[in-house]
Amino acid sequence: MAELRKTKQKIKEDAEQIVFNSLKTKRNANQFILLSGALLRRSGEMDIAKVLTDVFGEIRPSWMEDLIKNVPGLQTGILSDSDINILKAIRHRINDAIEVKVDMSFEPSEYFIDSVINIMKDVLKGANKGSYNVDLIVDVNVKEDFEPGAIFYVNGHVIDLRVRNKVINYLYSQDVVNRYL
Amino acid sequence: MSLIDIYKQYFIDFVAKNKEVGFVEEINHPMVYVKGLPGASYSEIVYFESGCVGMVTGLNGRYVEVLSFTNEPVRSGEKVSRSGDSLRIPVGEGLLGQVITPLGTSMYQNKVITGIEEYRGIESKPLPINHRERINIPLETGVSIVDMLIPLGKGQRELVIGDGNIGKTTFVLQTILRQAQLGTVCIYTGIAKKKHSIKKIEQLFDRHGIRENTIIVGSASSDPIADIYLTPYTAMTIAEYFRDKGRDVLLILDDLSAHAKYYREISLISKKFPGRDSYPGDIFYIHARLLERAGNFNINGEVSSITCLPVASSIEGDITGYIQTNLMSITDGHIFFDSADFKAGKRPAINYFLSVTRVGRQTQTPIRWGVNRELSAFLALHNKTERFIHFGAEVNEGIKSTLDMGKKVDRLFNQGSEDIYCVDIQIVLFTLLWLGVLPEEKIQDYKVKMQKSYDKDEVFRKKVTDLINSSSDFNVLLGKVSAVHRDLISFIEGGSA
Repeated sequence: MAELRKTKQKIKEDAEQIVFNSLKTKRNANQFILLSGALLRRSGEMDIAKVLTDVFGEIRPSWMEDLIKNVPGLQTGILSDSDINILKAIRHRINDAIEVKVDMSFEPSEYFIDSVINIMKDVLKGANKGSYNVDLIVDVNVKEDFEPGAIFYVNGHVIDLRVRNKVINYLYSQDVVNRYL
Repeated sequence: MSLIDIYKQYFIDFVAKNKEVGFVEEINHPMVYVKGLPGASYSEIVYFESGCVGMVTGLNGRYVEVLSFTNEPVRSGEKVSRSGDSLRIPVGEGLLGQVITPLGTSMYQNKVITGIEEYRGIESKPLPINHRERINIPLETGVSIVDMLIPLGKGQRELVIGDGNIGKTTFVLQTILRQAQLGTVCIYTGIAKKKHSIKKIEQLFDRHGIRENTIIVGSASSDPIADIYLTPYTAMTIAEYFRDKGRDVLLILDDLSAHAKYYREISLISKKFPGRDSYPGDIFYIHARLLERAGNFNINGEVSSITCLPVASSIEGDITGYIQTNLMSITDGHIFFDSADFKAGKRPAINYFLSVTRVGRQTQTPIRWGVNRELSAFLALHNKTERFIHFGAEVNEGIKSTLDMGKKVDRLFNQGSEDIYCVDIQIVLFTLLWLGVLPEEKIQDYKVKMQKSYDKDEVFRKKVTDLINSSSDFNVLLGKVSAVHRDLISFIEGGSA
């Protein structure tokens, strides 16, 4: 019995982790909160397709696939207690997640976002001696007139990775003016 | 470059300097909750990306609580940078004659204040006990009833309390008129006043030619709540600057009950737990820590003082309100303005029996002590007699003379809103009255004429001061004035000594 409970818990945690990992950005997280709110407000059997259309219109976000796979109630139309718990747990994790804000001039690729999350996770784990599991959500702020490069804001700290600053810092650190000019 | 553009530039500079940024998460104007800024500290100034400015008023695990100083809306998600410094205001001799806002800028648009010598934090610590001196120099208010019966000393904190519109502000302005004439730096602080009221006060100072010794620190009721909250602290900081320069300062805080109401508003918005009358738990502390900065001080061997007259409004003469009793316990006494006296035509409508001065009497000369003693005893008797005749008792000669003298004393104390009398004139007039040689109907006329002569006629002034200085106490003075009273009266009436 205990073994079964453990397995169920493990499945729930895995599902939670997979769905959360698929969200990645603040835009997706907001969409998830919107959808989960709409689902949690309803009771009994529901027409999932209609709910999704109500929330997103015709174009479904890419993370929906992972959500439907890991929350069985979304396939049957009846949300079980375990499904509801998964949705609530993900909402909770979103609220507690560390937001990494990025200012840049173009819409980044999935690969860029994954890299940001992985690097930041390593940095934060290192800063906290790896003692806790960090959840990260990336909030990309695209400004068309932004200079090449990006600025990251994590936990209130600013990491300025604009190309201009990098070049200036390099020129200063190498004492270029005195050495070469 | 506008102020907003300057603050926008500050935002960029401080991000580069501190490498920290917060994001606005929640806004309950004027409270703004910011996520981020891990290095923020209490009372630190922060700049918003949009050019707004605020001050950190609280820190918790998730948010930095910021009090916004601007009426412009702050946007959710906006970036915020911290300055690493608490709020500082510019101070210097250049502030004399100016009308300034709580942030130290001129209240007149586009006017630049010159003569700024330094920037001071508005939350300075009161000087320690080894810099404190006994209050031993009298402070003239120019208002007879106060100078004679409720005397004040330099460095005293005296609460001016009473209902609205019965002469509290008039009294403090009269005190400013007198003290500015004597060279004291006078700071009038209008907390959440109407703009035209501030303008009227400025015009009054101009009319009396005392602008160069006065500063008005004002906030209008339409200003951001944070500005109103800061107003008395800014005024006290300016007072401290002049005190450190060795000058005596008179600071008027008009009024602290309005200040308490605005602080209550801020506290309720920032979800601080409400206590009695919904005021927050630290309402006593915010006023105590402000008024503790006033007093008589020894700065590098030189004695200088900050005399503080905070004003508090009461409702229907009730002086047992929360804020009123708080302020009474913080200050060294109070002057109570009574609406019943005001309705009876007394100007100023000060109720002597409900007023207290805890340290003012120790500054008195023997003559002023004598005047005070005689008057106090007489007023107690007069009060008792008035109550007695209410029962329809037969009025004998003794009672009649007491009532007559009471009327004369009332006449002596009655004075117009811009009339001020120096203490020497008050003493001589009272002595003449006490001798019974001053006809009741001429008291007002004599007062004005004597003060004019005292101001303009060197000979008369010398005569009066010699008379007072050569007397060791009030009884001696009575004898001397009795001998020359005809001369004095003929001078007043005829204009020659």
